[in-house]
Amino acid sequence: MANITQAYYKMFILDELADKKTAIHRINPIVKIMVTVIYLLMVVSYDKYDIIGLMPLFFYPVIIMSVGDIPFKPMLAGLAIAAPLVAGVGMFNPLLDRNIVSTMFGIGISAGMLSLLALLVKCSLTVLAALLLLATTGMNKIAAALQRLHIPQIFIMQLLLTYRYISVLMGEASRVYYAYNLRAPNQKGISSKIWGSLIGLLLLRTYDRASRLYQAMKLRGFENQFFGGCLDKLQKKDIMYLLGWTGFFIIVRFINIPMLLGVFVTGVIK
Amino acid sequence: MSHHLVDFIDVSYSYLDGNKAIENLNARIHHGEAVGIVGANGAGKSTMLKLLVGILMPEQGEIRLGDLPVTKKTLSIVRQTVGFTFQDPEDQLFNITVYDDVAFGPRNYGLDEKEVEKRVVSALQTVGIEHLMHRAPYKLSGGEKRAVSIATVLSMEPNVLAMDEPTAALDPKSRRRLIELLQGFKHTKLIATHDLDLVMELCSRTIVLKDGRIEYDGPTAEIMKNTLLLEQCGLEQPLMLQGCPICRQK
Repeated sequence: MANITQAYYKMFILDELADKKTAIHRINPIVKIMVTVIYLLMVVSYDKYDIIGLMPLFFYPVIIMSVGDIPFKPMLAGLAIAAPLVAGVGMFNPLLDRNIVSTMFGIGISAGMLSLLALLVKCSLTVLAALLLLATTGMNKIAAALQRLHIPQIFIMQLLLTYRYISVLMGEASRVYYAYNLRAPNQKGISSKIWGSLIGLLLLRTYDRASRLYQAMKLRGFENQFFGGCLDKLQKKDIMYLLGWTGFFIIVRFINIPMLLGVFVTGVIK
Repeated sequence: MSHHLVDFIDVSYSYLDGNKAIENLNARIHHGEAVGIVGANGAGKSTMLKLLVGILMPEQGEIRLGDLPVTKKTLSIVRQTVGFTFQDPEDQLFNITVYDDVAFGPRNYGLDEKEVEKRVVSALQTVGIEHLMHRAPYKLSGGEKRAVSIATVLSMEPNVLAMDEPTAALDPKSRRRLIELLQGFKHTKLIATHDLDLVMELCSRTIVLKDGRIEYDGPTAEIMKNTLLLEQCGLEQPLMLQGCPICRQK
């Protein structure tokens, strides 16, 4: 909570990163969305205990980050928000699934622990992929690409307005927090006694602000429609990008590269 | 058909709590006129402008832009004709770049991208902020945000400008730039403000509101000398007409 203003400004970092002109940024947004969707499907298709099999999929975010010149810190911030939620979902796995499937340094590793770990790895990969799509494309171009893919307007508008509403919510939260803090300098955080009223106030304030924003949109002819702007035509490089990554995902999905490497390395050592 | 006349005909409006915000308001604003709308807090200034652009609908009476009544059916044309800027420019800026914000209106009216670009560049040039085109609105200063908010309505090429507290929270230099900018506009202007010095410089006519009713409607120069009426309406003379606080000379 203390860094709520920082978090507010960090929100816009992804939009700013999307303005870069690297090779990844120049790829057609439609293709980037398709690659991301295929990647997400691949990640979630792995068995719930298969951590090793997931490892080669880390290549994708690493390569996008390095070629797209995307710093890791904002990605980590996004992961930090999502990881506790996923950990909360999977935290009971070690208690419910206690079969020991392996030992490491004399410590038994239960199937539940493995599945929790796999869940966290899947969470990291999927969240990273989504954040990287945003950081290399930008929300407006994503919306334009979704429109080109014939996704119904209502879903696109929901996506755009929710994305904007988050910044309104955080902006108001930051103001409320400062106003509170200035009159309670010796407190750490916000007293739990007023959480209820403060959240109520925050919702009312954001509702008011969102209403004014909506009025401003209506005054400029907004009728729940989205005009996506221009998207470039698909080029050879876009098709290559799509085929390249799809090929890579299929290979790592059906050929266990880490195991092959392990066999190869241990074979060489023998 | 002329949309340039703005008519408030016996307009009344109450808020949901029953509080009368505007009562039997009658005013006719002519083409090219610059009208200052002044009054104490809660006098009905913002409500009057919101009624003009159809954010609020009168419970009694009628508002007309020339031959065109302001109704739910005509809102699209009304909002193309009247450009409204909010008290807080941040309420008007919700896109990632200044360009997208200024292009938002023209795009919504279905103009092709070439025409949109032409209008955006022209609006930004008019307010002198072409260099901010690719900047993120949330990173701009208060004065720059205000200029962008004006450009967002200019890109719709309105005939009438309705501005709610345009100089609120502006530093003196930004305020001066804004006044010079508005002096150059040929649009019909309705400016709701507490800044009576701004009204003195920009508006030949002033409407003074008190508790939702018009207390005065006439030449600015006259009302600004009427200290008694100003005081009764919760106002005071513009600083430029008050004596020097040190030597007391005017």
